[in-house]
Amino acid sequence: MFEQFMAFLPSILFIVKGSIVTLKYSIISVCFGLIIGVFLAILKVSKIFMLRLFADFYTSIFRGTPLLIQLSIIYFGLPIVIGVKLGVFSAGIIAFSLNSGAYVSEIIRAGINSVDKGQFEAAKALGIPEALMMKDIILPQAIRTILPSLVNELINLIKESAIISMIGEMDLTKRAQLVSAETFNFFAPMLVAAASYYILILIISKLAKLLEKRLSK
Amino acid sequence: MIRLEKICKKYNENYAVKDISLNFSANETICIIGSSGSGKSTLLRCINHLEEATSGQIFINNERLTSKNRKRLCLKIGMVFQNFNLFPHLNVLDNLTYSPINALGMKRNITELKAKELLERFGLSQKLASFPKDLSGGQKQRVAICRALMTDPEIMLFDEPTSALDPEIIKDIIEAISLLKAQMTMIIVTHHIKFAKLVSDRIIFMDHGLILADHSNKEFFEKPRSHRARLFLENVGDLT
Repeated sequence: MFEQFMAFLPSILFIVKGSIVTLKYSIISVCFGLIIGVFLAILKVSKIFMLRLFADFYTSIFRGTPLLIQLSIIYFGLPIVIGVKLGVFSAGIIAFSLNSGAYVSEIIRAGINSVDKGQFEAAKALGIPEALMMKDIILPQAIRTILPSLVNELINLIKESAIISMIGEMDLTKRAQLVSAETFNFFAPMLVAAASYYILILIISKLAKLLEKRLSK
Repeated sequence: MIRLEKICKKYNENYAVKDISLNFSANETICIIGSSGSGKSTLLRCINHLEEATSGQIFINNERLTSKNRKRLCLKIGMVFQNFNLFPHLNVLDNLTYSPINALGMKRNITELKAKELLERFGLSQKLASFPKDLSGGQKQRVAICRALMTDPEIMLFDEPTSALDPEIIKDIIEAISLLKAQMTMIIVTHHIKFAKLVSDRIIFMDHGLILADHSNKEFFEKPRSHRARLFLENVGDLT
């Protein structure tokens, strides 16, 4: 039993190392997603109809189609249309960020709407321009209510980033598949991958709880 | 100082404010009273463009208020709200200095000095570093008044400044307003009659979006001419 385990150990390490790849994709994408999301959310609460229309359209497209298709279009489709071949990494980050932006924008829009109307009025009465008001007055107050949903989005992204294995990135999922194929063992490698995802998400949830506590002080 | 000409504000098909023309002279303290839904807050909020009037014109120092010059003209107008609307994530000092420094480009050290002077004048010098949640209602409202005073306004608008306060704290606000009296034009919307009687020079009584009475303080309380105003005074008589 022990010998069997020792024989399998290098494979376990090989799979677990995929966590770094998975984390890299999800964290970078959630950061870009946040930037896109904030931008779209501000468009969504703007007074200009065309801007709202654009932001709503963007969200409906990215929420209404599978991420796998979006990634395929960006990685396989774009080279045909515009003749630029994106690398696996760029294609993955672009697809995940654009997709995540759509979800994050809805989270932030709800957060902005949760801030008391009086705050907007006070800012207006004090002559604070809209952009400054959003950045310094409204968003800092919204962040408290939206933090749990943002963490949820990061967790989703960690799991959904498994799709990147389809275009050949050596993430957790891909590594588990490789080991499975090599050893004809389809149980243990997948179990190792599942445990790695689970632990990653557990750590992130704990960190988020701590952050939430600090913010609510 | 301020001239309103035929101000109307419609929500859907209902008039909140109907055809109101008024003149406010410099350094006058005016209370607009009336029951809730009488349109008094809406009228006040039209003056600094928090609400855009459906029709009619507003002149501030003979300059017509439009959405273009709104920002410049409204610098002369400070506003205090019923629920204070302090920024909860900024401390008292930053609440006062945020807009002058970041939006109006004033120097930090000058602005902070000015803020500290104001806070001292209103008995808040111990509270510089406190956050709004640690202040009492009366303190919050005084901070809100100081914040509105940071731009040296010529006009102060008060929207129900005492409604969210306990009765025993209202004298704080009366004192604060007395400090400013005759130094600027103050327009105070309130349904607190005793308060109106104590602080105002002139009383405007509104009902259903119309002005039913516009008299000097003395005249209004001693011999109210309008029947509605008399009824209103009699109804609230036992509360005052």
